[in-house]
Amino acid sequence: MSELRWNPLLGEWLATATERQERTFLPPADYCPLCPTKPGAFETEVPEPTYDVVVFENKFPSLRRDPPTPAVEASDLYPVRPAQGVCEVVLYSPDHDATLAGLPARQYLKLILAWTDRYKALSALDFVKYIFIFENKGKEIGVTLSHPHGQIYAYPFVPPVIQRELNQSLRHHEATGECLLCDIMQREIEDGRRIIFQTDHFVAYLPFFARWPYEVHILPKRHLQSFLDFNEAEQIDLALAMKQLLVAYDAVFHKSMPYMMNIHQAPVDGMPYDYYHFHIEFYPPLRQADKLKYLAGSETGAGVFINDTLAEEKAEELRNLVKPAEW
Amino acid sequence: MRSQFVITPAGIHFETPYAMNDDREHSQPRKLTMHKRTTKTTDGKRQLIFYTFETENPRLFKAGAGGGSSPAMDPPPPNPRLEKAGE
Repeated sequence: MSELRWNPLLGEWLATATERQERTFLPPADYCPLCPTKPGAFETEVPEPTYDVVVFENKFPSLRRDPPTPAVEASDLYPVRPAQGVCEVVLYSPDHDATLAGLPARQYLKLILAWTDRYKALSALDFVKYIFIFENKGKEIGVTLSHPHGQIYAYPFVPPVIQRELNQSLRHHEATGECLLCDIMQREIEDGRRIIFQTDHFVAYLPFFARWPYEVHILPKRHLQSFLDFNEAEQIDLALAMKQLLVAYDAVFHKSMPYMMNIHQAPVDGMPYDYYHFHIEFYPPLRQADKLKYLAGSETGAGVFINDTLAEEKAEELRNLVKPAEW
Repeated sequence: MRSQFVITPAGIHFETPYAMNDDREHSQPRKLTMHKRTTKTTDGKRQLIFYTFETENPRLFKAGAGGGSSPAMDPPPPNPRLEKAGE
């Protein structure tokens, strides 16, 4: 059973998806459903012996193209709607033990091209209003499959975090005539203390307002709203920038860094979002090699993050770990 | 030999100059042409897309004057906000 239930207290939708209780949980490598299907071996989701980049619809989706009728009745206080949308899985590599950080930069470019294609294709569905491309990496985040992969959720509404960013960006634009994230990027470049690196077309910085010790945002220097606005040079440059950051992350604690990667783009609901700015936010949950930053009472119950570190110090630490990227 | 990029506050720079050497061509950023083939997952129930890529003729590309990370093309328009910052 699945449906969207309205939370009148916070003014936002949540999805119920009871089938997801049955999804595969950390299977042994021989039974990974995201590996290619080898002759005579376990049949995985991918019916061929190898692949480069693959995208398929999630077997245990929170949102479906043809959702079931909600299991509960709606009311004035509690609106309910079908959980219509699309949930896709993006396989980064046929190598079960690979991580994105360990893949060459050219593989990132392939992903960027595939993400762009999916953004364009899913935006054509009339029930889709927002396309969220993301990766949960590492058991610390709660991943159920360790094979290198990301996900795409095509929501039938604009998610609340994105909506807050849009509201703030519009408010800033109306007050100043400028883009909020262009102004933030300019301020970070002028200050310099939180810059991790710059490329020809992108800036990576640990924001002044970081909520996680090693949170990093990557922004295009040009004012872009989505992958559809990228030119070829920017696609290649983003591939190199992402590779640089993830390699630096793995050097922090000399182990594969868990993280959430969240790609924030303009909604696809037909409204103008010229005032918004594409960016990628990375949230590694570790504050020390063996200590997680938990989202406890203040963060979850009140929405106030407590960061145990100084952004300026962590940015310097990360900056010193950035190495040249190989194509 | 594998070419490397160095990222500095000024941008990406090649450690080695670009050359049409076969070995180096494999380690230069190059434009990819994407192809996709739509089929079904093994259970036959859900859409599955194979993305494959081929590298375009590297001789169609040349290193950018300042960095070498970009194929030959017109540069994008600058961001006026960063222009103000001196970028």
